[in-house]
Amino acid sequence: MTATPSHLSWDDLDDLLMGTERQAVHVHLETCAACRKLASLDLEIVVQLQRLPTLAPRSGFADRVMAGLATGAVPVRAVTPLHTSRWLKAATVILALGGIGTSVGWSLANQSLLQSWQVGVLDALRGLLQGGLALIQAMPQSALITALRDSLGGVGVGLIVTGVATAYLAGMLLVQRLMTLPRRPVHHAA
Amino acid sequence: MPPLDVRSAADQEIVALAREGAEYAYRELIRRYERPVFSLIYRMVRDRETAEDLAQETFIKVLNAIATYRPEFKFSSWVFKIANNTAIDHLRRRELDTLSLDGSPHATTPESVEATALQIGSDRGSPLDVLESKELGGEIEAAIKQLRPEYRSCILLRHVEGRPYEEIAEMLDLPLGTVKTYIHRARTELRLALQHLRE
Repeated sequence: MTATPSHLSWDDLDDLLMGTERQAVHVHLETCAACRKLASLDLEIVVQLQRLPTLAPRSGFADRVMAGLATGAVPVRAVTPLHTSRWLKAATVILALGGIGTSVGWSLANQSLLQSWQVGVLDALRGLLQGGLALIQAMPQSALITALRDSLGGVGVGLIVTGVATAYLAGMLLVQRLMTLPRRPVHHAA
Repeated sequence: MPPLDVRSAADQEIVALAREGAEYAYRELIRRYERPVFSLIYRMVRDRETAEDLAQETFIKVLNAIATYRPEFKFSSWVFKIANNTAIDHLRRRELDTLSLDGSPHATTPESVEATALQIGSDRGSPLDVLESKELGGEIEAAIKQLRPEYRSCILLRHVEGRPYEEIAEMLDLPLGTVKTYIHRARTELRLALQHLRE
């Protein structure tokens, strides 16, 4: 905002109060009684505000603050929280990278072993599936089984068995997770 | 035992010591800022007892969060920001009465009235000057109390604490233009109060 031909703007008054010399403002003040009054009042306000006393709390304020700190969650001699420790973060990153690097290196150095494990696992899974199918085929020829087999076919029965087995394994894992104690401390609110 | 030159050390040096948990550093920070923080909060909430509680709460927040303070910002700005937010939060939670030049509206005994009344004015000058100064100062104090909390914060930080516009904008998380508008509007309202006195 700049000075209008009629009156000073807020910025002009600010400059005046800050002691910034502006010729246009002073020239205007010489001719405008309203702005002179406004400027005089603003100056009075600023002077009175600057003269307002600085108040003080009752003596012993620092002691009361320290007492409030001591009863709070953070002790006076605060230990740097672990989550902000740069050293712990660096160590975690180094360990993670080291673990990943070691895993990759070992895998590259033991490819034949990994392949044999892979074959073994696949064979085991295949065996399980075949065993499951054989079990189903060996089941008594009940009306229910006959009806299921007829309606879904061999593949459908296999899928049902796989789904039941997967749900059973997932349930076991979930129970195990729930039963496992937390490894990291839980921070309680103060 | 604190170092002998702790009082002449810069804020950042004291903060660094406080981060290590040095109690003397905590006390030095409180000593440096207790009066301006209390003054600002007192003029915001207009009750001494409440102002003391809020000032105490401010310093506890400051010292508890000292590890998160970023040194690239002025420590004083950070402290005033927390103080102002604490006062504004209190005002938003409660509706306050407007009169307390003559003591807190909650004061019930003469001693508590005197303890909570604002003491203003100067001991110098003629009795008429003193009365006029008191009346004018009283008008300013009363007029400040009538301002909206946002205007009050800005005008006190600008002309009582002497903070520049940019710093106030940073403290209050407001655009610079908004701070200037608030201060100008606050001065306009204070001007009206003074005009009434002069007529």
